[in-house]
Amino acid sequence: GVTIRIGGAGSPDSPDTKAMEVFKQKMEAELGSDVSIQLFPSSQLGTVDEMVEQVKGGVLECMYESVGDLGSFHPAANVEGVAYFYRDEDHFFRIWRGPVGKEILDAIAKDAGFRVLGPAFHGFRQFLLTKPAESLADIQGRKIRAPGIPAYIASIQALGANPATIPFEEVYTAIQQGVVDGVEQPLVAIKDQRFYEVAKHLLITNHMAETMGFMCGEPWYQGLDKRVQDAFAKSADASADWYRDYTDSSQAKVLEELVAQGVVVHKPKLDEFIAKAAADSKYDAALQPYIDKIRAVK
Amino acid sequence: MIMLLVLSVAFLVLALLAVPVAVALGLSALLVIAIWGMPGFILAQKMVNGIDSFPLLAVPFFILAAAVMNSGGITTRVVDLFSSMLGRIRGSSGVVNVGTNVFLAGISGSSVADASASGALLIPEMRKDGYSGGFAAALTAGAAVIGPIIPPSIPLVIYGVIAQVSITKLFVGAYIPGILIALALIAYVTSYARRHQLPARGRPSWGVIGRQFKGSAWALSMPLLLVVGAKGGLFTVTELGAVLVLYAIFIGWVIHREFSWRQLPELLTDAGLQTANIMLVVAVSSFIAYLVVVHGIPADIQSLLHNADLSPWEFLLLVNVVFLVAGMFLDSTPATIILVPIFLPAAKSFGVDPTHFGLVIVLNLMVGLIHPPLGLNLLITQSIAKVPMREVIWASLPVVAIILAVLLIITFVPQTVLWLPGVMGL
Amino acid sequence: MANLLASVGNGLRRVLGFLVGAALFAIVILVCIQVFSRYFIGAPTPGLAEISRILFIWMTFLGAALLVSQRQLIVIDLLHDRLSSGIFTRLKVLVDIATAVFLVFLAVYARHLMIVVGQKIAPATGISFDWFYGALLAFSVLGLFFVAERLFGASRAGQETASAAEKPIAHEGAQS
Ligand code: NA
Ligand code: NA
Repeated sequence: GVTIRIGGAGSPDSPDTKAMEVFKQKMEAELGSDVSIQLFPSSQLGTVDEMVEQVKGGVLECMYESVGDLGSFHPAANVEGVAYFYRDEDHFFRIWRGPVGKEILDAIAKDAGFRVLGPAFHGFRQFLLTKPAESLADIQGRKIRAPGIPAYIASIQALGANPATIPFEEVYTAIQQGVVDGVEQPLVAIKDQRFYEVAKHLLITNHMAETMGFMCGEPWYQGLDKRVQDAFAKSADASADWYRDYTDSSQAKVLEELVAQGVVVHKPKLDEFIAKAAADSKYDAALQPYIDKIRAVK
Repeated sequence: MIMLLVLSVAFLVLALLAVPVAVALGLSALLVIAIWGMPGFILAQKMVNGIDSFPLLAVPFFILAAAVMNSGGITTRVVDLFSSMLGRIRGSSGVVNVGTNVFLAGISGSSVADASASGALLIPEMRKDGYSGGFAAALTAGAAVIGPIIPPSIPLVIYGVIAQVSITKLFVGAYIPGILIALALIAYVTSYARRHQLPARGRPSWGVIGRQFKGSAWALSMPLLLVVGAKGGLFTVTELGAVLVLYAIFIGWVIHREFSWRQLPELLTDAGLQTANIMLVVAVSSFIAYLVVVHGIPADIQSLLHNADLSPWEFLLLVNVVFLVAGMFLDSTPATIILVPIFLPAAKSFGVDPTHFGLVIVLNLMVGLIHPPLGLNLLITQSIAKVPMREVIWASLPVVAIILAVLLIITFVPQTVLWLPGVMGL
Repeated sequence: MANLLASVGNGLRRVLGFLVGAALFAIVILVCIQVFSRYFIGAPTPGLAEISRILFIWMTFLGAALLVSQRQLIVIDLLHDRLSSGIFTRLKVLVDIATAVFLVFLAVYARHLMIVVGQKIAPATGISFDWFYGALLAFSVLGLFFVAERLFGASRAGQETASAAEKPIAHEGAQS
């Protein structure tokens, strides 16, 4: 049979890791002993960047992470950092399971050699700040931790905050020491990384969402039997369906838990955020064709 | 498990034959690659990514800053002042060294920054007081262990995330263990100074001390910059190292007029080469964690643990042993990532408090920074002291023993960790 | 031949020493600019961060090559006191050969890796990742040159640098 090793970066109990386990179960149900799946969560095989290179070099079959991590191999993957793409979850899946998403993912497979399967949603990113914030005006000029990726930086800047690039593992102490005034992350990460212990003001802005997915070496994937490929695609989509249900049912619970930890939640009107992002954002020219395509999806 | 045995034996044989540590480790890894048929380019990948980390920049920054401060007359002024104030104590610079590390621990989250900063400043001073280079290097390496114990602490943050334990509670619980280590090391260094009859510098009159204080006012502004800058959110401790270099050049050049620009190229190359030497070892050893994972060693440990019928005491002792061995080859982050998920469920089933368990584990891994052959702190302080490795290794054995003794107390007296958070209602 | 090796080697050592120092100085300045820019201007500088990362990698591996040439790599010298100088000299040749073996494999693997990531670019600066992993190839090639210089050249110049470099370990360095 075929052995598939899958690396991930989520902690052992995180929903990202559970989504990998769901995939494994579905695959085993489909293919029985013809397949052996080994999961390596919590960055055991290396950082996300290292895993991407391992997949590219053919020494790791697949990884489960956000498609944006392929941005250093293909510009299309960087659309992840663009603010206010998605109106809601349905819209997200209309894009990524529809023809536009397929076209973008096929381009990544053809030009960069990564096959992305089972695009999944793990929640919108929100702002978490050390000082009270209720509206767009309150985040103007605040120092917000950003990944060192231009599209993210452009989006945070467009919203009027000052992005500061700090390595992920230093974010907790950087917030605590006041090097930054906050972070923007999905709720699960805010809970998982325990950022709520050092910043108590949550602003529900839904400004971005990562596209999670199984990312495999395209040459390896094309070498699989048709039967295994079909099972793979089916199981990856099933994992994404599980993840969507999980996100729906858990967001309210996560919010409650955060409130119980003393986090103050504000839900501002998003119109002014969306308008400001649209007016002030400037993205790399290489991204623009993909941005236009995605924006055109109803 | 056989893989680990092959790796360790090959490494020890080569290292004892005077093959450089990095090369010995690299050849042992090549042997594993040859026997088990692994993809070799991952060795290259891990070597570069292992040092591609911003916090490691602290090493050259602080070594360079100290070199500039030494050549600009800043260190002498401050150390003279402190020695005068502690003049009655024999070998006072050793005590100042431990104290400096406690102070730095309150600001920095990593041991690397502390070992570089305190070593570069105080190893030369300790040698002036009559300590051997090996002792000074070993003591500094041991004292820098306090860095990631007393908060802020990057290893405790990583444990908190993996184990889903309150990081605030871990931070509060870490104070007493950190202070215990500091006290134990101060007791050790003062008794060492008494036994070896190191001279006390003698306390001059208050008038003299007053003049020294005035003379070192600018130099004293540097720790102030540290506190204000780091606590005020101006910069992270790594960045502080770089700021400190420019600030020290400014004071040495403009205020004290003792710094000469002609020296700078040599200071730069020297600091760069010392860093390169340490980083090459770090680079090669970052491949080991990958070998451990792909060889399924975590699963082996898990099944061992499952089949052994252990009492809670035996379990905690086993944890100490496994993490100490792991600390020999693995950096604290991969060790935490790989091992905590294996041991934490068992710890919980034995009724061990996860906060207490976190401190035991992090302290264990920090001992890995000072035990030979691959302790990162030892590599840093040895390269600063510029003495043969064997002198540092021999001198480090009592320091390791002392910290292990404190570790045993903390392991078997959970209140050393849990009392303070309890008092604070966490 | 031996003289040529030695004079190329001496030139390389000077250049490498300069590059290591210059890289460190550049990193210090870049990080200070980042701090200033973040705190006072509020502008992010991810490009500068990437450049300082590359410089640090090159500083490390160019420095490591220079250390190979000076026989200054960290060694566990537990047995040094107990060996006769005859054995010790032969041991040094063995160490050189072991180092060369390691460097040959490293060169092959580094080259393989550069082919794998050929397409990869650093997000903020657009610099190719060949520039990150190229440092490893440079280390292997330079290190092999210096080992060859010692093994085949056996020139006086090479010996002098090697023995002169071993001394500073015994007494205190420039900064004490
Ligand atoms: Na600390
Ligand atoms: Na270690």
